[in-house]
Amino acid sequence: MDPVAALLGRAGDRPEDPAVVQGGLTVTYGAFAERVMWLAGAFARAGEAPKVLIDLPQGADAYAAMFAALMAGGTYCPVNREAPAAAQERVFRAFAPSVVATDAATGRRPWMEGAVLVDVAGCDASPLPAPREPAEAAYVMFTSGSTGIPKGVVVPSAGLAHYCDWAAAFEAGPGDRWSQHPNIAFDLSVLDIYGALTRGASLHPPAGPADRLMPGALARRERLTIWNSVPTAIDLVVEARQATAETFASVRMASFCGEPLRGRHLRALFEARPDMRVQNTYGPTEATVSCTEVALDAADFEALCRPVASLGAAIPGMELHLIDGPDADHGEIAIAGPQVALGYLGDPARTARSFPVVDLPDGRRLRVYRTGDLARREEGLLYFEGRADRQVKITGHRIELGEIDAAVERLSGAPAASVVVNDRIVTFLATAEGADSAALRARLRDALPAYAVPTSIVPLAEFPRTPNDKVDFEALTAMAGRGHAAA
Amino acid sequence: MPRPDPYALVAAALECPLDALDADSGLDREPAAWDSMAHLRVMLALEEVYGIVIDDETIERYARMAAILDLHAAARP
Repeated sequence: MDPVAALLGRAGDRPEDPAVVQGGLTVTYGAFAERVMWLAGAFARAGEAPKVLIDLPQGADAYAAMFAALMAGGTYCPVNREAPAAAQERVFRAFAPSVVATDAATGRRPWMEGAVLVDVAGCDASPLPAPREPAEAAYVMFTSGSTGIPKGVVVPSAGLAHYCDWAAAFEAGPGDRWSQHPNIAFDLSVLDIYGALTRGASLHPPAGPADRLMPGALARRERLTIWNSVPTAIDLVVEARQATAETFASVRMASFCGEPLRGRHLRALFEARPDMRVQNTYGPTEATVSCTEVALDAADFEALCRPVASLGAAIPGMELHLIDGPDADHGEIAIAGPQVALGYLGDPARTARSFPVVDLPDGRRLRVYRTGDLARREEGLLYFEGRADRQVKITGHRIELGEIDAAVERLSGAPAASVVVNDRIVTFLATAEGADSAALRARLRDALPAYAVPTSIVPLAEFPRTPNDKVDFEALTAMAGRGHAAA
Repeated sequence: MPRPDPYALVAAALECPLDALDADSGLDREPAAWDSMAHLRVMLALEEVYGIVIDDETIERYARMAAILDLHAAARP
């Protein structure tokens, strides 16, 4: 599916239908499509294949800028406006945009030299009359990088189109009201934005902090019919004592991705709405959001929680192979198919390592993305078994522990080694001089996203070592579990 | 019924020791346990004890221990 053509088609058929509803304000499909065409005209003035940085808050203007970049034959990159300024500047420099889509309240940031600024409210360009040919890359999303430098994942237009085809299985349409919980700089938002706006449904982002902290209240007030989030959002609903039939009365479908979906999440949902259609999905940013699916229902979900819910099986058109394991049912997940990313922006060496061509047991040679995720396959379904490296996920955020170590080392001057215990990051510092954990954490808040700032920083005279003289992360994890983290 | 000490109320919500808190504590500051899930528990406790309304304005205001201390002082009989 061509997402721009699909959007414009919906707008032509039903221009008065709501496209985006936020804080009581509604943008209709007609008005939204008009904004897309105006912005596409402005972006097109920057030349062929414009690179559009989207520095806008979560909402209709940001979504319109995304469609407009695609319509102008360009590639976009959304900014995480909650990230420290230094991290936003790194994204700007790495993406090197030709255009920045912004608003009057934001304006030009100090590091934005060399790019044309387009104010989405004051845009005076002529509308682009027809979509240009899509660029090879639809968007770039930045994820945590082990060296301390975020990796820009370049997602192909063909991959986005393939993913939109899969999202059609949600059977969304006019009258559906679709949640939009994730920050637009996280790729789970791609499902919401394109799933809803290419199918005639309305999109409902949070209007403010209360909607983010209490997503159940948003579901009830907006009478959402489709819910897509990380499972942690269900924990917030439960904590707020809102996991009730009234909260989910209108929700006919819930989809999850990004972190382990546990029995407690599913029990909360099915106790509130036993007839809800629920699915779990899995996928890295490098394979365009998600590439597996499994349906779960009230009668048999417990059987598919071993101990967390299955990741499911490959969606049509995608392949997931388990490689470098003892057999074809155990090993590292390698993904092939049209949704696999083009690579990492400006990093051919890392791209070559992570996207190799491999020989499969059936004799084929395929370009794959090596996820670093270990899994087993039982009865055709995949189950997560941990990581082959030091990447973790906390509340849905993908974090390379090496990125934290690099930031701590830069600020402290001492070697650092981070581990995770009970979803808390503990960073050990090799120093005989002690460390002011609170002061260091305060400085790290300017270098790392809030979710990546260590819970504790623990000085050690020296790190435990393996027989090969490498840092013994297992020993450090055991120390953190025994309470050294309380130091 | 007397209201609990505000430090004790927040420490219970954060599941952290009392001495981990001071007037500069807050969401995404110190202590690390004051994350978004813990902040939701803080807000629910403030709603129950002080009768505040949880909305955009109060969620941001009571993300700082100092503001909770002010709330407690103003609510004293």
